Amino acid sequence: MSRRPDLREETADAVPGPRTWSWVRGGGPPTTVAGAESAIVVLVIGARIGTLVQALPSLPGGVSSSPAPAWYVACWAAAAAASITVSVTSYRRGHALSDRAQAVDIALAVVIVLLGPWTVAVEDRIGSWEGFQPGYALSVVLSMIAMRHGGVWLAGLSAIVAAEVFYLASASETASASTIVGNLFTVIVLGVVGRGSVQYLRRVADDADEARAQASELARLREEQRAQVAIHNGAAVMHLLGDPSLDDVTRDRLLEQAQYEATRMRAYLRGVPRSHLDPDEDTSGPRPLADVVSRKCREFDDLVIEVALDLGQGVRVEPAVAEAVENALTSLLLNVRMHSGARLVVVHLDAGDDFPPTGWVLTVHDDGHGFDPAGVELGVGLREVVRGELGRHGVDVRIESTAAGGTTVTMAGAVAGFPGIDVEGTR
Amino acid sequence: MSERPTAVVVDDATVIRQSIPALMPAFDIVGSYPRVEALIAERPHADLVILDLHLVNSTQPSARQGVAAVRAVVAAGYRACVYSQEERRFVLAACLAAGATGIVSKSEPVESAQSMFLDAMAGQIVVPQAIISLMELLVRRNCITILGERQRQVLAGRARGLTYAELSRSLFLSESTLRGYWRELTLGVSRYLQETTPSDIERALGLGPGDLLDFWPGSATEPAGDSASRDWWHLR
Repeated sequence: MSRRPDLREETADAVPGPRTWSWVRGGGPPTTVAGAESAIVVLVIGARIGTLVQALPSLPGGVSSSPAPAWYVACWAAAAAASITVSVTSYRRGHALSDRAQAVDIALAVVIVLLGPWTVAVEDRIGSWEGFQPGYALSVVLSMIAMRHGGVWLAGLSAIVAAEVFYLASASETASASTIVGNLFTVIVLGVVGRGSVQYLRRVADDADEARAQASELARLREEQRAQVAIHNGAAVMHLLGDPSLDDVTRDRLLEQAQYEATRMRAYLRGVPRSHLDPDEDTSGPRPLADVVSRKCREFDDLVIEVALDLGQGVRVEPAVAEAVENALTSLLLNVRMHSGARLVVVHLDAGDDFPPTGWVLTVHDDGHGFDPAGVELGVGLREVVRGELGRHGVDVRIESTAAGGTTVTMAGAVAGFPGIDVEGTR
Repeated sequence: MSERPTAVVVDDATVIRQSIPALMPAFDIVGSYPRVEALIAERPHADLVILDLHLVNSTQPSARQGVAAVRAVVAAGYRACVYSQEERRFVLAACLAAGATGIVSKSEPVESAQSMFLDAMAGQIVVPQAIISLMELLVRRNCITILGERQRQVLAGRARGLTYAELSRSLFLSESTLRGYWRELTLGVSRYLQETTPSDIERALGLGPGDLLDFWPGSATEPAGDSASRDWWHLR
């Protein structure tokens, strides 16, 4: 079986880069996995660079009030470098940094926060951007939400919270306990909620990509089925026409069938129903099923076909159903002609005892050598032209066969009309 | 008297008369005749008369044929099994109405035809697929109401071409039981056809008045002149 294409591999937005601008113009990133990752990158960049921009105006004041200005500047520079590196790298990659790289980022943030009590004046540690460490820690926590591994994320969050506890404890003389606890809760709550949101966003994007892949696969299969339905009978007729031992009568019949099948193939290639290319076809309303069956059976007069349509006389079906039944019958009778070795084929139509009739059952039985349905994969004719195509038109199909015991195909559908009686919509 | 089943052949084709004994060794042919009148004149003992329907030709233009021939053979006390190329179902049904025990198509393979003749010799009604469909139609139109549920199921299956083996699997009955149902069924239908007027059957089948008169025994008038050779199934 062929491998199903994965849209995620083919998405044009796998690397956001400059395309970010096209999102802005186009209303946001695409709703794919790659798009979701890009959106997370934007969030990370916003948190990191935004924090940096907010802290920048307070840098001179922080340096001047710091008890260790050189260390203060070093810490600030390290934080700025880390934020810029994380942002630029994430942007270029199109998705967040690896867990390993983020662990390094977290470790650096922990060190910067732990050095805070020595580099920031006590009165600046809480509630001002001179004490930039809590704000910086929060930005790192927000960029951590993109981590893949839950355990690493939890360890990182714990480390930052612990470092922040240490930092805030050093400022307990200048800030109330509620302020300190509030700051801690902010880090924890935003970290947890942010990570939950990112996980959910990734799941939605995964499902969306999966749904697109399935839809694409279904469309491909449907097209394949349509091609098989359009081509199968024609291929069988051509195969039979290639038999040099054919008698003239059978050859003439096959040529008629070939013409019919050629029209069907042309209709498929043009994407229109076959009836559009056949001027003799009446598509104005429901068609008498017995006539459809009878006409088709007459095309196979080289076979011994006993046609019993009395019990279904008058039953009309929708034109599309009539065409599907016609094609299915062609396929079945071609199968009989080519494979079954049957002596007698019985085609039987029954509309039941209700009046007006609501359903019909068409049975095609041959006394050929049959096959074991459990041990044989159905060919394109039985699988697509008979079961698939009729099924798509609301006709139930049952195929029964035994090796050396003949084959019975039973089709059951709804009546679309009956002479003088409107039974539209009933079944 | 031989223990093997015996039959006589009535067929205007010499080849058929002479080849059947060689091709169908399961029974003995104790006589062969080109026309019914010769059979009735000689009246040999036989379990079955294998009877062609089309017996008129240039050497015997006045031969009795068609449904009339069936009726004459049956009236002479024989079991008659029609062996013909005739496929029109109302003509075949008319033969059953005239008392034929069976109808076998000349297109049947030899082995199959031989088996059907043996069934007819054993008293079974042998009917072709076209007649089975007609039987189902008569039953579904409530012309024949004596059928039990099982007989209806067997009839429905046979009308769709199912073999006894296939029916046996779907109805969970042995093939011999199914054959028993079929025997009763065909005897009932045969009786119905013999006892019912053509106009009743016309009504039952939705045919126009008089549509069956050309075929049915006891209803046709003597054809005259050229039409006799054209409508050869008529009574003569």
